[in-house]
Amino acid sequence: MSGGGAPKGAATRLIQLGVLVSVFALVWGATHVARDSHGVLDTIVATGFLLLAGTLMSEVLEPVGMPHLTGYLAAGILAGPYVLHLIDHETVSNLSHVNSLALALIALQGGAELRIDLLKKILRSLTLHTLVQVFIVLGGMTVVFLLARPLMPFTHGMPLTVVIGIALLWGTLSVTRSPSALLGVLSQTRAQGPVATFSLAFILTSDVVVVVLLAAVLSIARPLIEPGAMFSVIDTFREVGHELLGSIALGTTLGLVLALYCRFVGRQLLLVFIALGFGMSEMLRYLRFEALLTFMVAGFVVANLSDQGEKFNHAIEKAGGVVFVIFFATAGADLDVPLLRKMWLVAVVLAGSRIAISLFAHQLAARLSDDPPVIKKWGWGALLSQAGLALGVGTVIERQFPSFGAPFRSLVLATVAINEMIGPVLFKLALDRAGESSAAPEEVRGAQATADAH
Amino acid sequence: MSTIALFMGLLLLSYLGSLLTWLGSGSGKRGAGLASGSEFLVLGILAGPLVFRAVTRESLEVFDPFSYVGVGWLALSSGLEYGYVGERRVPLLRILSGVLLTVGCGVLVGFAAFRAAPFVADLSRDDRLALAIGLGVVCAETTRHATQWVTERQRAAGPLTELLNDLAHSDELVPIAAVALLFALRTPARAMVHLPPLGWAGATLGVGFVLGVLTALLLARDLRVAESWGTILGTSLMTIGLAARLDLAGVTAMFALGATIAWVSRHRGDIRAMVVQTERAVLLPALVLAGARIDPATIGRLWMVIALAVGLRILGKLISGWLVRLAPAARSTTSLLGLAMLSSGGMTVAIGLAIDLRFPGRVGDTVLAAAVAATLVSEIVGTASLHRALDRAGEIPPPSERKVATREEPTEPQTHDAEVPS
Repeated sequence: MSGGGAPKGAATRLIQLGVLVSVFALVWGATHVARDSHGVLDTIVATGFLLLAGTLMSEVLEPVGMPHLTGYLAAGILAGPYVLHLIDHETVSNLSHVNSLALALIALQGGAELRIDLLKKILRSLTLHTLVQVFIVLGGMTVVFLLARPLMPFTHGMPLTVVIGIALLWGTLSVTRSPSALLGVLSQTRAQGPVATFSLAFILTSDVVVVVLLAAVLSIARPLIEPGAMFSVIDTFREVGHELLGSIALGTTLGLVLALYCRFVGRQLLLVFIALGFGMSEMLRYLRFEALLTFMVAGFVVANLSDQGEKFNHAIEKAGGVVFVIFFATAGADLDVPLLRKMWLVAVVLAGSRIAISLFAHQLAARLSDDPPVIKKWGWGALLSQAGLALGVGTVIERQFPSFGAPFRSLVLATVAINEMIGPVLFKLALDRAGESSAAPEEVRGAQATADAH
Repeated sequence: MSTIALFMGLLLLSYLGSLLTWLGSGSGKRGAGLASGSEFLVLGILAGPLVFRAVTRESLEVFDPFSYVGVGWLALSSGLEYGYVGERRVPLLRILSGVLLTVGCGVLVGFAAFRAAPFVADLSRDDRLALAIGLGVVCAETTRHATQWVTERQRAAGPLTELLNDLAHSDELVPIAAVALLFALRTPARAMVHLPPLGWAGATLGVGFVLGVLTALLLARDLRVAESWGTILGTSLMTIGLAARLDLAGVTAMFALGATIAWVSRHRGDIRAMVVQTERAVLLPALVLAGARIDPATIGRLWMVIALAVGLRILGKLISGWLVRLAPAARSTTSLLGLAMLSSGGMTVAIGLAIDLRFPGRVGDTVLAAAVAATLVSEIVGTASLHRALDRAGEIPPPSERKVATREEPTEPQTHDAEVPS
């Protein structure tokens, strides 16, 4: 992901547009010259194509204020199996292997961006925001889901208690945010300031909160959905405790090892990241630890308990530049456009309500914690995106409750699609308006700096 | 062995490769280890079906995408360096000489293999032709890595060193072009359009050329190293994938991509520096994968053709050496100069691997085994002969002077993290 650098002129943009069209034409031509699918080779073409097309699309959309991430997603949607069909379903599935690497990098970077001193400063505000967001969004979205029941055929004929259980699960899912979208936009805009710091701390913390919340809600919802089902709350929390404590312990060890590696070797960090992204993620899956939390803690340890944070962050940014493009473009290609078209009404209602409730909760929490005006005004920006974590929670729910899992997951996909598309745009807008992004006009940054000083 | 364990092993090798490059750059040498990386070939052979059978062909097939990409990446590097030694252009006459000598050697091996194959194996005419071209291709070139390795390790300098370096930096065009023709001889199975072989060979070059021009256009304004990686990786993967999808030679397309970038882009030197530093990290896993694919069961009695090909390669290079000695720069050295031109390495094995991927079975396996055999023989004979030839010509300084030179002349930087101004 690029950021900074000299502004690019119209000629450069035209060249980029020309190359983008050529690249699409080349792949379109190739699919018509050799039509049959050939898994492995298609994956190689698709990786290169999405990397190039995503980068170019983001550059072409930059002048209209779109975040790069939206460009990557747009390239994926356009090339994916539902629009131009340059990339088929099997290839999208093969490409999703890069997700574990991307998520490892995202978590490492997220952890490394969090500084103890900054966290201490906003600890009270962070706690209040987390509590308010969890309870209001969970409660609010549960009610909205119940009210929107007529729009969801799969709930028709179900007893009210079952629908309440499903609504609670939807409420939990609505609390999830997107660390990847957050870091994607932050990395492009190189934003620095109260909104960026607050968003980073809040989104990464909420990630951990969701793991605990999901376990709690599952234990409440299961008896409602499956009357007579045996469900041990103690076992559930023991499992969650094992997952959280194990992840933190392993993450701390990994962070120390990484810090030592940076200190004494400091080379070929890209290969180390690849090994962590694929090998370590596999090991964490086997141990049933939370990969995102483990890597986040590791990044946090490197940045806060050693003097290697800068080198570490620089290496992640270099590696992530390529990986994130493929990750988001693949997410775009995976976006089920026909499903969205089919379920657009209920998806819009649910996504719109989530946005409204999140904004309300933000305003309330900001007042309670007496946040600075810039947080009150623009701190909501990062709350709206949803992506991988929401889909992951959706998959967990689908597996736990096969009776309604499939339509529930479709609803998740449709709603996340909307949040995934508009969330990053609004977050970048918020950063620009708050004067924290490198792309913000000079007068906005100056005015904001003055306001901050006062 | 599980896929993930094998993958971690390859990553470790890749890491080792880059570490060796780093250690080598620190000591003033191009790299540690043997000139052609034969130790990694041997490691692969030991792990493969020939010796310990720790990996099977099925488990290796999971890594076919890595093989495609690794082979292509090496060809890209080769294309970027083609016709240049560092920043110096190789004179046209030397390029032509290098090409003609390599054609001669390849034709000698190919023709003999075509005639000899029916005596030891029952092959169709098409397979015989593919085998002959494949063997000619992998027995033709002299690797630029070996000449650079000896040059930089021994601090050799002089007219003969320059001549051998120039020839080695020119001759890769022959196997690269021949492999395009070889792949094009078999009409791509998935093709929806009909083209003659030369048309498909042209399309191979066309894919590389078009994407090379697009890459150069994107990197025309200024070159920010971090951003440029995305562009270079993107176009490279597209080139490799598109060529392979059409059953065309990815190595040729990637060579064309690299050569086009080198030809069109004003950032050739910077791009070359970026790619070359990754070469060894890609080469070592590719060598291990190649070594592990050697399967005597499929080769059968064709090992005799392999032996003939390697023997004729030595003869061909000896003849080439005698012809090179006609040049004033080479008159003062040994009459066995041809043995000094025997070295083959990464590119030869990469091409062998590409042929094995395209022609799986007896033809591909035999060609790959010949590439590996030629590399191992050249490691033993070629490197030592090259050292002796340069020594005889008085172009290798004594060890005491070499140490001084190492301290006084730092090598070019191997890392290239800083932004390059426009």
